[in-house]
Amino acid sequence: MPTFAPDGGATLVLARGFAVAFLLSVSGTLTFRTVVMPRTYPRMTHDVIERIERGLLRWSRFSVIFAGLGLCAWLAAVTSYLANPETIGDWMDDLWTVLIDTSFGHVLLLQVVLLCATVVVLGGRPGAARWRLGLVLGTAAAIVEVGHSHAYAMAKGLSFLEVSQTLHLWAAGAWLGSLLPLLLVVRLAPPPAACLAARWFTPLGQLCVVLLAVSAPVQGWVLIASTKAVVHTAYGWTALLKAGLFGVLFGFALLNRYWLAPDLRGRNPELARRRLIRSLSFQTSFGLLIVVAAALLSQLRPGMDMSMPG
Amino acid sequence: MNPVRTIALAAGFALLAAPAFAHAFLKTASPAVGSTVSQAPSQVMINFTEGVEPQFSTITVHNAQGQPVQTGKPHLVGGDTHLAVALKPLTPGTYTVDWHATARDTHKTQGTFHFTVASK
Repeated sequence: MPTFAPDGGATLVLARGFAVAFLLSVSGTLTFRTVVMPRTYPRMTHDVIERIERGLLRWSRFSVIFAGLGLCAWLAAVTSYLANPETIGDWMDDLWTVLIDTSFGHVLLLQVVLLCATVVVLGGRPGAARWRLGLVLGTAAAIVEVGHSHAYAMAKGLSFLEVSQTLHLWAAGAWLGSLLPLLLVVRLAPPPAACLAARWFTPLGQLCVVLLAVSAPVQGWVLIASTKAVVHTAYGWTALLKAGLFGVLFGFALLNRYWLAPDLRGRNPELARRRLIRSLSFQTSFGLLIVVAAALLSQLRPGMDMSMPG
Repeated sequence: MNPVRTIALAAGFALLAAPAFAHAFLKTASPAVGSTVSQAPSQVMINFTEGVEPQFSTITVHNAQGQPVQTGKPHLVGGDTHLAVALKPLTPGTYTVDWHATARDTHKTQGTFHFTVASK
């Protein structure tokens, strides 16, 4: 069995996973609100729309704030890993150096600025235009994450791997980040309207699944580089775990779309609603596991490097 | 275009464009790894496989007695893949170069190599 020794240890993996999970949540929540909900609101009463809008707005802001906190935790963990400071004073100095003098710090600063702009845009009671602007800013904050990746570090200019990683991040945000907003709608909306929301979410979900299913193997093929490395490296094992979790998520998506959501229009909509909520909760939990697996992958040495010493 | 063909082409392009390594490793060095040089170099320069962060990368050079012979901090030369450190005047002998690199994605790598300054 290969040794799992991520650069920077578990703290760095968890801090990174925390930040990425909420960045994806920002992107997904705003995508869901802007792309899916306008098609379902005509079937809802004003009172229900108000409650859903409040819930989505609250969750968007919550995600933005926690994404910012996650980035701060990640910065702190990276600083400790890079500089090994001995005192708090040294750590503060090193924190500043990492933020100002490294590529990691510059990308992180850009993400923080984009998140701050998202909060400002979503202030008060945003109309359609501000939701759309928030979507652009929040999604940009999530996609800029590619600047922390192996793909960016390896690239001499814009590379195919970076484009693939960007599409992967967008799709992950739009799909995984939409699960909790969908759960919120299922909980608050009348069953037929909730069924409609699930149906309108389908084309977006399908696009995301296709993008993820294409971009992940491309990245795996480039970064793992050999079938031997799939079996004999921690990176390969983690990539396989991630692929397995993706399969589980896809299974939940099929279950929700073709069995549980249509039951909302059946004879016992309250039972169907409870089942769909439970299924979406499990799916979200598996989504979180995927994000942690992705964070672990980012901190492991890819299979392509196995021939190098050190 | 047929979607299957598009995906196959994209994957093929990805393979062709695949870089060699995902971390910063030594690509070339001056003086070269394991080389013997007739003239004492004034600096050691390492060309890495990808960009490095100079603030968190080091190059130390020791003589056969284990004494450091580099002066100052390492700095980038003409791009973020070339890291160099100045040396004190070297006498003939074998020198050990220890390098620690931090890539742009904050991953660390390290390595060691030797070079020899020949006696005249």
